[in-house]
Amino acid sequence: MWHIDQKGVREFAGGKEDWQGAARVAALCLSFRPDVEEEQIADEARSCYNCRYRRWSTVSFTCCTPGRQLDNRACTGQHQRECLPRAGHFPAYD
Amino acid sequence: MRILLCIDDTDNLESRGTGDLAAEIAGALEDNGWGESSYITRHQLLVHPDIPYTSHNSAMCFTAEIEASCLESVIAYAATYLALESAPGSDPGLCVAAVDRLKRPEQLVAFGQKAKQSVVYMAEAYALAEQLGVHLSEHGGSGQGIIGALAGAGLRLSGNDGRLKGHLVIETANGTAAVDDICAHPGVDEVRSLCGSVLAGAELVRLGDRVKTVLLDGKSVLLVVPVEGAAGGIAWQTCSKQRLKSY
Repeated sequence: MWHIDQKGVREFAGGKEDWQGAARVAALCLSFRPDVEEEQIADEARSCYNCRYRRWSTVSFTCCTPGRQLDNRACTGQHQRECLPRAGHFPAYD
Repeated sequence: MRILLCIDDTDNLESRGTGDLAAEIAGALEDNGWGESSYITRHQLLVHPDIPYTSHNSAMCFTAEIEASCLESVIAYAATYLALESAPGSDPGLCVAAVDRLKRPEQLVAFGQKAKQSVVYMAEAYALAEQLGVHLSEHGGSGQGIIGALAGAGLRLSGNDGRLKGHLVIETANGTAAVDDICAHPGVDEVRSLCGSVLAGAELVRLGDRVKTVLLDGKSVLLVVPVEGAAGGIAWQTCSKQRLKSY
């Protein structure tokens, strides 16, 4: 669900309209924090689109989570593409 | 006199939002007896790699009716407040415009619209503010927030941009209310379909969990969409957050 943008930053591959994908990623993220009310745009309360650590880019958003964390218990091969990556776990996805 | 007060770039990833600071300034304006503040609107500006911003690049603006003699007090208070309360690493900017004194209000609106479409620079913002007779000041960091502050004031002045901060609590029967009852809420001026038609007072609207309005034609407008398979006379429902994203 992520790819590396031009500055080497992880950018959400679903763009700005992948509501289900953003909710799935947020569901597995240990660092999710809801943004202030006026900046929330997704109907799903827990969504990367509503997270205060997302930074909008031209076509999507980048994740600014301090020290990205991964819920290893939930991370299986079946859904690993939706987890936030950590070093050595899995690289970028296009 | 009617003023526009707009602030931008006051936050960081861990701090309070710019909207909260705007709300506190609006509250202080009233607490000090300087005047009466309106609702706060959020205005989205251009997201572009060349523009520094924390996460959204949005500005927060409100209008107020104040005594002309209080204008300098309002500006001084807001400036001091931003300097003290803005988050570390932010680049806060403040714009205060007396609407009746604006020499060319259409230029302020045009600047706001330009800032949604293209990259603009501080020098251009300062030049326009001086030309229009608008207060524009920076209160920390690079001061880049002046661009959004001026643009946000212009967009609020346009009357056709932005979402209102906060959501409304409206008493309903089973989650449904008549348009007349909705418009009795001080935060709603009008109920309108996405197609632009204004709903009649007796029409019934199913209200979602979070009722939010947008600024259209200078009014706080509750946007609704038709209910599919409508029954019981309920023909409309409020828009989802996702639908309001573009406002």
